[in-house]
Amino acid sequence: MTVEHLDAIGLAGLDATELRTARGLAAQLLANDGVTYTPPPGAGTPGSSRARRWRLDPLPEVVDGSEWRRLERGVVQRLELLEEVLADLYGPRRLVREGLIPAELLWRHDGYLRPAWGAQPPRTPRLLIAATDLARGPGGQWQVFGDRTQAPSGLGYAMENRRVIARVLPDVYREAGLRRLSTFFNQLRDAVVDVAPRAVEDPRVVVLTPGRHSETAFDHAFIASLLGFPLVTGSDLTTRDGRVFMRELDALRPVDVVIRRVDDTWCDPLELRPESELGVPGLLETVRRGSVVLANSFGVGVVESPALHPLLPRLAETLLDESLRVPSAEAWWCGQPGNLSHVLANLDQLVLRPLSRSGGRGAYGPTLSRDQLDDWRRRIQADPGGYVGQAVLEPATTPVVSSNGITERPMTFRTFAIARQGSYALMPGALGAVAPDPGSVPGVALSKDVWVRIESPGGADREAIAVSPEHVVARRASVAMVPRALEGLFWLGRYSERAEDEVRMVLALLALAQDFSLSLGGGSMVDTGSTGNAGSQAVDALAEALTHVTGTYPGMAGPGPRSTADLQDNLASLLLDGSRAGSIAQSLDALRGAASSVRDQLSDDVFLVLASVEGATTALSASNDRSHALRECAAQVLSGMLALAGIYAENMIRDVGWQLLDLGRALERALQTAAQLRYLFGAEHSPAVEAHLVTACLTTNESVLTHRRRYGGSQQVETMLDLLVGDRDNPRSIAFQVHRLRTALEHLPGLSRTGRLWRLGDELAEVVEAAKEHSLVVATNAPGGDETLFARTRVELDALTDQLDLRLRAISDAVADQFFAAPPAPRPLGVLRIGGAR
Amino acid sequence: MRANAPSRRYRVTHHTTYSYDDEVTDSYGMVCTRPRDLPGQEVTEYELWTDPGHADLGTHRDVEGNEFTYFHVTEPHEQLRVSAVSVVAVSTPSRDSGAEGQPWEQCRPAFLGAAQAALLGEYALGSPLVDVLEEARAYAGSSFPPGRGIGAGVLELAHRIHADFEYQPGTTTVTTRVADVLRNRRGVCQDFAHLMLACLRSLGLAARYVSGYLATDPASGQSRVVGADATHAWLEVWLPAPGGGEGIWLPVDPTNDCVVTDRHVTVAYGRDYGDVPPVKGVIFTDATKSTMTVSVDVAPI
Repeated sequence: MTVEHLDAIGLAGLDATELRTARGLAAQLLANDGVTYTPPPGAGTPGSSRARRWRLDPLPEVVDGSEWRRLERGVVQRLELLEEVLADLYGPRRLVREGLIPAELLWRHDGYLRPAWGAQPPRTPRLLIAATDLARGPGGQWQVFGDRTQAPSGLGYAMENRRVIARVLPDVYREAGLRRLSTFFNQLRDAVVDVAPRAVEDPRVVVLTPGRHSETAFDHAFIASLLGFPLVTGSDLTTRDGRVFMRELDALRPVDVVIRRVDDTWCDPLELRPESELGVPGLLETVRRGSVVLANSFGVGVVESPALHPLLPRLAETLLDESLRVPSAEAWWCGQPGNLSHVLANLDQLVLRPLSRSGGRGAYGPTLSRDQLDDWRRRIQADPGGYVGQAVLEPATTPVVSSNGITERPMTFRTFAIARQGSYALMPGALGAVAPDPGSVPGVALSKDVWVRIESPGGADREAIAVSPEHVVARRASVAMVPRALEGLFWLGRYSERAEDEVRMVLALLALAQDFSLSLGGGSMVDTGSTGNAGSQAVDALAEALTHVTGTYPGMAGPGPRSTADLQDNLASLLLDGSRAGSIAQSLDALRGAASSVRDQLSDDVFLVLASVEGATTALSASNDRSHALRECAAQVLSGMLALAGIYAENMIRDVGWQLLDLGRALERALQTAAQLRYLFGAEHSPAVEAHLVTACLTTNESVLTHRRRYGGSQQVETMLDLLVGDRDNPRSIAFQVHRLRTALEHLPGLSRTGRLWRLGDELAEVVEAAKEHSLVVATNAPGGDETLFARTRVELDALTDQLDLRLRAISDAVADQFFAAPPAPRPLGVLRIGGAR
Repeated sequence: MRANAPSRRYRVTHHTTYSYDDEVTDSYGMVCTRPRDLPGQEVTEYELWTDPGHADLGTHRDVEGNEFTYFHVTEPHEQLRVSAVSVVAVSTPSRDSGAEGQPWEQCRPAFLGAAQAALLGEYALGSPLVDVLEEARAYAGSSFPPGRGIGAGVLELAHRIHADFEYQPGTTTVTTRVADVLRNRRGVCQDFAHLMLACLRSLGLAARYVSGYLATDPASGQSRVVGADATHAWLEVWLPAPGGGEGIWLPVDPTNDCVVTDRHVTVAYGRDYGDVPPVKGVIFTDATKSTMTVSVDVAPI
């Protein structure tokens, strides 16, 4: 596309500032939706890598309707052809017998799965969802450089890109006359349902994902929630009696279609990779029996081979009686002698690719050093059939918003198609990939929305014009109550409550410190007399309790007084250091993780809130004015957690998942309150210090007003405990949490009133009731005969918080055993040694 | 290849027993123990069962026509026994001196061109457990001087493997590579079969792995010990039919330095062991230890 195209849709008029604003807005919207991409661990970055933000250029790429129609015919033809090739390779193998496909090319490709031969039920497409990677040359000619048949990703990103651009450029979007994507998603949903093997009224479709740590976890979850299909992992599924079932609570529900986002060799440890824990043993057998359809089928990876590209024109003529409409990028499979010499002579001008994925990464010839080229030469010479040389693409460039206006960058396209009635329907749009820097290759680092304009305004395709934001109607709100999802919701509840309670303590500490001029603004500690002394002792006691409650030792646990800088460093670390066990930052990371794991069950608002919380911590880490930034950050985190509480309370269906979420929140709040009481009041302080701590604790537990109303100006530990432990009407009290927790238990299925969880709930209630009977503050002892107030321990309070902690944790464990217990991971059955006889 | 009338009958009993130190809740298995129906080999009875009994069973044939049985045991167990019993009549394969006399170079699928030998190509390449190594080619070379008859070359190679390599159970595992066997000069029948496959494939010949049973004779003066036999492995090399047509497979047993006789019961063909293990499976358990015992009895009847 050129700038003239921008003009055609009214974009050329935007000035540099407007473009940068658009770019910023796109980035913000993507952050709000929590759109991420996790690059695969590459060289030099061992282990799992962190999720990165998905990036989108705000200028859409526009393709004319007539050009798109020609391209569509070409891509559809190519997929029909690949489907035919697969049917032959996993059936009669005529193409190999007749030499149309060199046998070695098939046998050597690790995507050819011998056990998949003959397994496909008749009249079921092997490629239900396929993606095609294309480049448009400088002269406008299209070329395919990759076929994605295995478990193509990107549909979710494409739809998300479209939604974001529609919000960034609403006027342009409305006026452009472009074809909507939702039509395609509706087709996709219907196609997946139609392909179900039985004439089931309401076939159950699941999306099988490797989990939230996968490269494109967002894409999987987004597609699942968009289409209304539950997102599951291998351990959520099982096979029985030749069928696939989903484990939901204590029930097994049959599954008819599995959209797999797991590469096929990892899908069945029984017949394929035995070490896989991502798959379902027996899955291939159920496919063989025709009871489930896999999208896409086992063994389809073989047609991803670029070595097939030069063969496609002839295959098209043989199998379809047509000539190939869209050419592939030129490629030379080194298994043929002429090709080998060509590739070896042009190493530095080709993309060098192993035949199969197991051959490792490919390389971009023009950027290789002499040594690297020699290394490739040796590798290829040692095993010519294992390599393919592919022509370097020179994709046409497209305008991209950069910091100084518009620059031109090469761009590639990924299109998506779905099998429909013996052919394919192409999504009218694509996922664009742009080179992020001059000289780099287009990749996932920067994406683009691709707009396809209707051919004739007012014509027959008028219906399909996108004017309003894209909307796909899910068939039904399908929420899978699989153990993994229930666990995700439970921990979502626990972590949001934990972060809230901890950040409230931080705020109370900041307030107390400020009250006593221990300005955390950087001033030195000022002795303000005896009141001030009590205040500073209270600050130390509160800081120490915060360290105990969060378990972030050594933290602020040592003897005080501590300097302002020390407090600030500690609090900033609590808020920012995700690698510190027990920190608020870690709770927030875990919260984000839990939310991602159940993305398909949550409203987008949750991710909006999480983005704002992340913005708050980012601002703190960038700030120079610590004292102000700390308070600001803590306040924003608190406001985020309150927003989440609001979403949980107001916007979520009261199903089993919600009950577990609420149970998690009640459990965590009771644990946190008990811990605070223990570490703030377990040891007695002077009355003046204690008065400060009572206020801080009431503040932290949002009970200051009630306490004042009920007990006047008292700052007694006793009255505070009345309110925070035994008062069932106070929504912050432990008694209230116990009641809430037992209410959740009543709503959970499969629990016996004589079972462990009920018993633990009863015991917990008894502990709280007993605590109301007598004062928790009276009995004290002073170990070692030390008569100073500071060392006197409140025996009863200590015992109570101990009991509470023990029982609450027991309940958490029991809930996990009852609802989240995944079966043990599948393991290979010992391997038989062929002993041999002689 | 097996053209003679069946001359011996056996009842083959094959038990595989897995024991665990904790309960197994689910066992999924895939079994390949049914002898093939072939010219010269006739299966009259075959039965497969598990103890505890299976909740689900399914049978299919793979691309080579080997029979696989899928099973699923759902009854919790600490011991699982997979048993297969077959009654099979076997004859010693007849030899085709014309075919065996062809120069080995002319027996390579590549020499014959794609049209005739395309599908055989799979057996002329390396496979997951058979690395086609330069060392294997070097080792095989002396048995295959230019123009030598394929039969003589193959038998000499089997003879040399038998002479140069020590049969020593327990020194190799199912994942032992051809290079290790070449270096250490020892192994069991599966290793020798893989080694010889690597040698033949390195020359461009098509050769396939055979999983089966071998009837053993008791040492003189002793009675037959039931269960002392074992599963066995050998290989077949492909020769074109001199007059054109489908071609034939020459079966040879390097472990015993012989061509295959009426004591060899053929169960399955594959590229290597990995395609046709007699039993493989997946279990769900917290158990940390497991032991496996195999008992095979090839009883003449």
